[in-house]
Amino acid sequence: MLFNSVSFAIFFIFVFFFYWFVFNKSLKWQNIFLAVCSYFFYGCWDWRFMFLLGFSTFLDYFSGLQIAESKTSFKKKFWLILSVGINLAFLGFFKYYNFFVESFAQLLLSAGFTPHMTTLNIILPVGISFYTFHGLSYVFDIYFGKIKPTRNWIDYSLFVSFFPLLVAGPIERATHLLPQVEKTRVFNYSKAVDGLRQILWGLFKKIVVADNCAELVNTIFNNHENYSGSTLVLGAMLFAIQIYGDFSGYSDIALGTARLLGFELLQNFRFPYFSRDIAEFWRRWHISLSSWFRDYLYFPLGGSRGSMAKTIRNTFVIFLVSGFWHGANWTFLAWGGLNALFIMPSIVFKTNRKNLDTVAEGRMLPSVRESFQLITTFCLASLAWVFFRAESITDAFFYIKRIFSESLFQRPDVISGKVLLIVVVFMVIEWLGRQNRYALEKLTLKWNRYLSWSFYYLLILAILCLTGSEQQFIYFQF
Amino acid sequence: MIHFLYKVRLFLVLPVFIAFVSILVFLFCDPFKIVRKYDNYSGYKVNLEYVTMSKFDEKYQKERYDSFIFGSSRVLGFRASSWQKYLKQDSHVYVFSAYYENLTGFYNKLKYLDSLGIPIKNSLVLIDPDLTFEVVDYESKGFFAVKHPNVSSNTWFHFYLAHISAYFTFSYQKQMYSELLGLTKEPVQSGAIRDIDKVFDPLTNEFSCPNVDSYIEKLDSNNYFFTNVYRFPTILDENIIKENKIQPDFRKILEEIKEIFMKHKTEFKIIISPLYSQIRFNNSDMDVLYDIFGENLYDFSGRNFITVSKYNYYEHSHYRPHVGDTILKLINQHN
Repeated sequence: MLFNSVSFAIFFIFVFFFYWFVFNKSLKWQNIFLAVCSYFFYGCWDWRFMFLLGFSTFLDYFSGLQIAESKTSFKKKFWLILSVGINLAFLGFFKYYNFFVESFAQLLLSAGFTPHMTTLNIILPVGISFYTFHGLSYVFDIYFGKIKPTRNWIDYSLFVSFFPLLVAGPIERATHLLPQVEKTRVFNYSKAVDGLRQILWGLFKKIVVADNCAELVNTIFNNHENYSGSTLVLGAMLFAIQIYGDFSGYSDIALGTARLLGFELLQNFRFPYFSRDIAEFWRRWHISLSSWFRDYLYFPLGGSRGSMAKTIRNTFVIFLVSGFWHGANWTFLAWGGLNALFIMPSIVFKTNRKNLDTVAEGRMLPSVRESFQLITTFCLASLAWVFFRAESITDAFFYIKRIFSESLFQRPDVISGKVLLIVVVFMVIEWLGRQNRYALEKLTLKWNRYLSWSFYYLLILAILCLTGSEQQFIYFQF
Repeated sequence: MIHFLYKVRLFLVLPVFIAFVSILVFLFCDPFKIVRKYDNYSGYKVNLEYVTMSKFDEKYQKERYDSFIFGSSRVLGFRASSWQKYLKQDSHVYVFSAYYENLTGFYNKLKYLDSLGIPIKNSLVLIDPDLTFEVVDYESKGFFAVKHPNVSSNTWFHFYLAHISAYFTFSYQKQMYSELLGLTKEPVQSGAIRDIDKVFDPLTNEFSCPNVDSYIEKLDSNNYFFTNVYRFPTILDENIIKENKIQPDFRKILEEIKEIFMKHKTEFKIIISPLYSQIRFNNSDMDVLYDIFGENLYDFSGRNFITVSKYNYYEHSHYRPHVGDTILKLINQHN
């Protein structure tokens, strides 16, 4: 049940009405209802994985209680390791088993051995990386004394399985979401309207921007050996836009849906392509994952508190792990490694926290210097995305090598006026709304009703008439 | 909450009204010919499987079909009349085709015939190495590939919704007006034949493009193939599919297909299409196919006298009817 499908719309209308009109008298029943709906939502992909979700939930719930009740630090550590170990074992088996077997076989082959290893026909449970990380953050927070464990199984189940964030995040923290689950929620008109607005913008990003870019991107990446350097540059840049539209569009729909039900989820994107350096880009891209790795991996490793060498090591570790989190392919590792390299100058020269504000704040246009910084950052990010999108490392290198050829200065072979127009309109709206949580948040607030509604109608019309062919969300595979 | 619902309702008045009018326009215009019954579907942008299934359902009792060709849009290369020559005189041929038809699609049609109790005396099955054993996401291909509810798990609601949504997309409207205004002059556009040049035989459902054939013949044939050179990418070598396409699930379906043929005592021939890309199955998949279908399997894929010549193709995806005639002659000589 995709967020951009009619079935989800029908499902959500059903949930909304029962939640606010039937179960509104009791928080307990509201939570039970939402948990049941979340399991149903998950079961629509593959009912068998509902048991996996259930087991993972039980494991973390139980471990959390045991950690809190353990008197000795040895026992606490035992329950933490047990929970983390089993969670990662599941993740490793479903996501990485075949990758490790194939890589090991390849290694043996290159060493002159003839390996006889079999891979398994494993189906990756949708959202496993996301809900595993939800659960882990809960156990870590209890272990480090940040929160007390909940003793309400339903509340905890809802925290893990809450359908707006179940399959592609944002990766929530127990410290942020669990108190909202436990507290009575009251319908708020302006928040609900804001939620609808964010859903509309999310759908536009996904259906109009990302799906239309996808058509061109797929054509270019699937036949990159036949295209000129300039076309490949266009392909890389359009993929950067596609993945942003796709993933941030999903996050917007998730946040908007949750807001309609009275929940506030963590912001996942803050206009990452309006960043002046790669460090700023990473403070604005997939924020819930970056901050997860920062809090539970980077800081425990020592963060930037030790020597420069240690800081560099820690930075590489989180980028490589983050790359590997995305999938079992060397291309993701290369993508992570490349981003670590790009961020390195700002780590070494300690300028990584230089750009904490919004670019061109209070001004309509950026300065020449800022423009240059924005373009450079976008180009670097796009270059790294080539590895993310390519089928293999060889393909990625071949793609990049072909970019830097004489054909770079030719007219691109594949140009779509429609797609370019969509991208330009999209980026302009994003630019105008860059100081808010999402582009549309305050854009239309000062307009009169007729104008703002006309604008929304126009967006709806674009969603209906400019539908691209791609439908699946990219991050569902992670 | 009441205020919120009131505002939402108010906001939705205009879209609901427009949607209502749009549906009326769709029902009235019936652009994809799915609302009303038609004698002839030639020249329209239609869902090939819908045409195939609805015509069959309408006529099978009267026409007593007993010989069937199954395949994707590549059935374009086989004429029902050509096959008829090799069958008994009282045979009644019907052509089942669907865009992006894979094994499941073909199997469902065979089961459908079996469930209706229709005798399957003869059958010609076209297997495409690049398509038949693929798991196809029909939704993403477009309305013309949406599966017919009688031979899939789709509901009629879903089927109609997909068509209505497609009608109001920018790309469809653009294409429709381009064709109406005569802006698309060549009969082959973007590697596919224009809808207005597609002809369906009302009786056998043979799918052909006589306009395109005469277009090619009228011009100096070298000229057509020269000016359309981008439709014929250079193929340097035979293209053997590395991975095994016939997974256990597909093997099971193939065995069940054979069981149905055995049950009906069908004279069947399985033809592996000669594709311009020279793509062919690997030996492991070929072994599975030979193991199940034995001498009824005829392989024309890979590099051979058909696939090395672009003159045998409309474009890189579809071969021309004289290729089908040649294949039919060869496989019947073989017997």
